[in-house]
Amino acid sequence: MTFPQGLAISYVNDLTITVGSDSVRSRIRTLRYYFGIIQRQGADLGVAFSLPKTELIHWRTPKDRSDVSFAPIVINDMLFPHSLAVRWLGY
Amino acid sequence: MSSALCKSSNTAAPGSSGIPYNILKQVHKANEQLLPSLFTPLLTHGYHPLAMKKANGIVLDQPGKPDYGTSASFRIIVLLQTVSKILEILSALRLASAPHSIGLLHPDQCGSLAGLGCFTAVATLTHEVRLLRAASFKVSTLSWMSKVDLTTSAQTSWLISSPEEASPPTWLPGSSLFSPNASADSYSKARLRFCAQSLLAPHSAPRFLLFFLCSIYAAST
Repeated sequence: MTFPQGLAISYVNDLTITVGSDSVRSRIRTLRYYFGIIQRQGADLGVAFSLPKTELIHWRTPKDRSDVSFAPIVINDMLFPHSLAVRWLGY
Repeated sequence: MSSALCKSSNTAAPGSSGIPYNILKQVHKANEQLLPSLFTPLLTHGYHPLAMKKANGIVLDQPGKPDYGTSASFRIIVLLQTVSKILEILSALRLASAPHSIGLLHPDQCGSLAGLGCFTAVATLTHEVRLLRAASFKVSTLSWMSKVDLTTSAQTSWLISSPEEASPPTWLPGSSLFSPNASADSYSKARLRFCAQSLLAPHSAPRFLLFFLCSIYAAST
């Protein structure tokens, strides 16, 4: 099994996963997959995640002429629409 | 001691002791041996005196909250005593190189570390986003927060794992990119450490010191 390129950064207790692919559906699926793994492994450690503060962002630049994606992500039956910014530690 | 005092602002609130940093700087300037002789025994024995843990808390409203009936709608600014903060800074300075040298923190863990602060995290994220976009990929990011509960035994057992077990997996390059050929098993193990280590972020020097001492204790037994 192979994984697409991606980036995982942890800033204090904020975790961030970034993935890239051609389709938004693939990215959402990959992010859910990664989140599921981390959530299960975290549960084994007695670690819970604060889902209400989960944020999803589809990166684009002002010069980007491709279709704008507003695709949300569903995690644990909770719908998270795309955000305009990634916040760490609430900022 | 000089480095710790240099990092401290003269205009910072002094806390309950009322001793501002400029007084400590003047003391150190007059006698360079006095303050080290007071702090060194504390560091040697790993003891943070209870009297130095007293703080003044300023409760501020968090703007934009719909309901101010819960504690989550407020933020507390904690004003520690200056001597306590100096002890924290001294601990952090002495242990600054330890997290990575003994594998206590994952290389991707940012925050409260020299060279791995907020700027580094943001610069890495934007760099990788641009890199992926330059490769004609569309890019998405998912960000969420972990709840830290250090009272659970599972985390405690991880905290006292040996440095060898805590060392980052070798297949993860330092640039923090996932390995494109990583197996599901190796990925899971890496993420396990990623998760756990993100919980070990040194939010404060005493907490960091506690984690460090737990690891050293476990390694020695």
